[in-house]
Amino acid sequence: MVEYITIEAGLCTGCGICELRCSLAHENVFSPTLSRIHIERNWKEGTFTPHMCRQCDDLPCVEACPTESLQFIDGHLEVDYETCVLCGECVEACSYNAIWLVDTVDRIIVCDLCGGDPICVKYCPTNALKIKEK
Amino acid sequence: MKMNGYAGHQAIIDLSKKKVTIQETPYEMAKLYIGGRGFNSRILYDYVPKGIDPFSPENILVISVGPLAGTVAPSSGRLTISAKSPATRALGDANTGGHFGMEMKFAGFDTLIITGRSEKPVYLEINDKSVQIKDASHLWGLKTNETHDALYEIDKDAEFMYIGPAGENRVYFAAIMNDIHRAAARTGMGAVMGSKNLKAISVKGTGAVKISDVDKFLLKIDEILDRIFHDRAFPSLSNCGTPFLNDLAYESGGLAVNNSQTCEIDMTRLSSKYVSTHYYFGSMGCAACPISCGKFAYVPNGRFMLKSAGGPEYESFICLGTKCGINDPEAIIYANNLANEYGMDTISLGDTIAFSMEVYERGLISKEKTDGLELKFGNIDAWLELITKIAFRKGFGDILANGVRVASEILGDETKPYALHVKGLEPPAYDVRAAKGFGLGWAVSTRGADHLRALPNFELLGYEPEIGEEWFGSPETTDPYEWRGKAKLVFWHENLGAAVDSAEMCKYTCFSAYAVKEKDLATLLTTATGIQFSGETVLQAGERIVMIERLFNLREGQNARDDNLPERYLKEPFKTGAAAGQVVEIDKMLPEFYKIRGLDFETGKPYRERLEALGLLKDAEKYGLVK
Repeated sequence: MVEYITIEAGLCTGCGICELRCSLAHENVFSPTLSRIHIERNWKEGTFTPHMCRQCDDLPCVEACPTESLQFIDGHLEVDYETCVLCGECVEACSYNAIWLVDTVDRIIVCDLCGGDPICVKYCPTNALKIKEK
Repeated sequence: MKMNGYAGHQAIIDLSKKKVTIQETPYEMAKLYIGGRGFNSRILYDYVPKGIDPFSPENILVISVGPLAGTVAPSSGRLTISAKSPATRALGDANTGGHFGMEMKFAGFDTLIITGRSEKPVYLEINDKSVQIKDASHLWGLKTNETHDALYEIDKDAEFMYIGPAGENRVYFAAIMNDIHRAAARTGMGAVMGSKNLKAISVKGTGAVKISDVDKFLLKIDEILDRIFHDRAFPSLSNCGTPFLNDLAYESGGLAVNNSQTCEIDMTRLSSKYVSTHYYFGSMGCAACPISCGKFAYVPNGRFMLKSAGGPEYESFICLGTKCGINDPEAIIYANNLANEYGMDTISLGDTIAFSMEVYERGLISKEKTDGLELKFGNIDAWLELITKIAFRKGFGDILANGVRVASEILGDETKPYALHVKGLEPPAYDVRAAKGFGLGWAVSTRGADHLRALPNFELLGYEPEIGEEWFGSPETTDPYEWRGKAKLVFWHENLGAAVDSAEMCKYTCFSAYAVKEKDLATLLTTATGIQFSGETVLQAGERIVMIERLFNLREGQNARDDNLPERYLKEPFKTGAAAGQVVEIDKMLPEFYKIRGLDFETGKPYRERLEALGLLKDAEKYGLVK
């Protein structure tokens, strides 16, 4: 069974609970900068667009990685921080704008599905984020 | 001592000297005043000299977030902006949601203290603990939405707050806006910002908030979320936003129409169902809010066509709408958007126009005075023109831009009975003849007529009398038309409300179904910051905050007589509706309230023992404010 996250942007209210929960789960602090999901907020148009890994089929990010530090294992991405050289090729390759090179911590940040039970999905108050089986 | 939760720093920004100083957030402040509104009120008492002109460089504009901002505590990213108010000429503050507060925390600041006055228009650019004062001559004169666009062009990842023309022109009820549609509206903070030649603040932060006990904190959050989601009001608030109160006010006789002369107007097209199905296209969530009561609205066609606007709150539908005799939802959405673009509080703006309409209809002012405007209730053309005239202080608008108290002084003594205000601030939507606890709340509020200071929702939630007995020792507290027991009800709500405002959580989240009470807040604060709070110390902090605000106002010359309501609410009952025949028995509630709050009923000065218990005796003695 392979799972992936779907995003219904029309339901997103931009509250950012997903960003805060994500950073706490992965980094033990609240910090949207360190979150594996980012919401683009456009107050003028009234739109909120969450960006995060969709576990897509073709995985251009994995293909782009010159050091094979980014791997798709057990249905989610994993970064080998020992071998990653922070080149940013994966960031460029992702068509969902869902991988980030965060310079405050010098690390590649990408969704790992929380190992199967994503905290963002669990706490999204409007069900804009859902997990589905492929 | 290391405090978690807090960013740990305050920035003092002197616009006269163009100097920025950064200092640590004091531990004692955190323990005694929590943050947000509490920080601000203490800072105003310490640093705003007695008797200054609110528009002088000596006035201080303070902006604080709370220790929970940036965490997943529900709707915890609010902030309070405080200064001496031009409207009340005493303590002023305004609270706003959105995402600015959380961003300010991540940028490293709990508090921004803005002093002095810049010679030329400037804006502040805050980026990870750096504060720069930048030229804003290209922004001056722009509406708030245009200012947002201009700043958004520079940095799409930052959050912004700004004033519009109303703030620049020092309209006494000018707001400070953020996220385009969010307003720190009350008491004219936008005018103070304008008087400092400060157009906007841009903030961006990549920092993090660390808390002391993650597991216990998250357990409490789950408990609170469960209460919020199971609240009876949750579906209405989440789907319709605050306009769900349009229906409640109508049904319970608390609808204010034609400057609160009557409660009768056709509400068919202002029902929450009509408004939400015809005009909403989305919800906007404040930081970490599971409710998202803010709505995006549009008007598909016709004279008031708008592609994207902020949906009017209940307060705007009533104060800007029905109080002015207007019940066309499209006109109200349009006018609300206009008020937001100019940067004005829709409560005071609507009330001020409603006042002018009543005195016009009574023949107390002529068409010459109103620049030829036929100011009859329901006249949409005149109403719209007046909104613009007020924002730019043009003609008759220049008089009304001072709010009803000053406008009625200019227009003549015979207009004064129709100038509805408490301490110079115009009252909110829900008519207090149908909610006596709210009536007392308006009267004793430290920022003038306002529902949010006490917000004693308890009396409106349809609880059984036994619950009233259990919570407040009197079964009458659950009856909105009853005055008995309301002094205690308001005292408790004011104290918890001040603590919630200082933690900068949302009172809708906390006081709807009472999802967060003092013990819950104590757990959140303790597990987040590492400072030990209990239910008792949370309520005591709230009481201390209300008291320091009262001391500020006493120092400015207020006394016990300022805690009162306009005659209309005391002597003129509605003739129809569910609350027909009701007036607010303020004389019966006030003495008891004063006793409970530890104040002398003649002078308004607090008693020595109470000040001692709150640790404020020296502060009061310094200015002779002890009874």
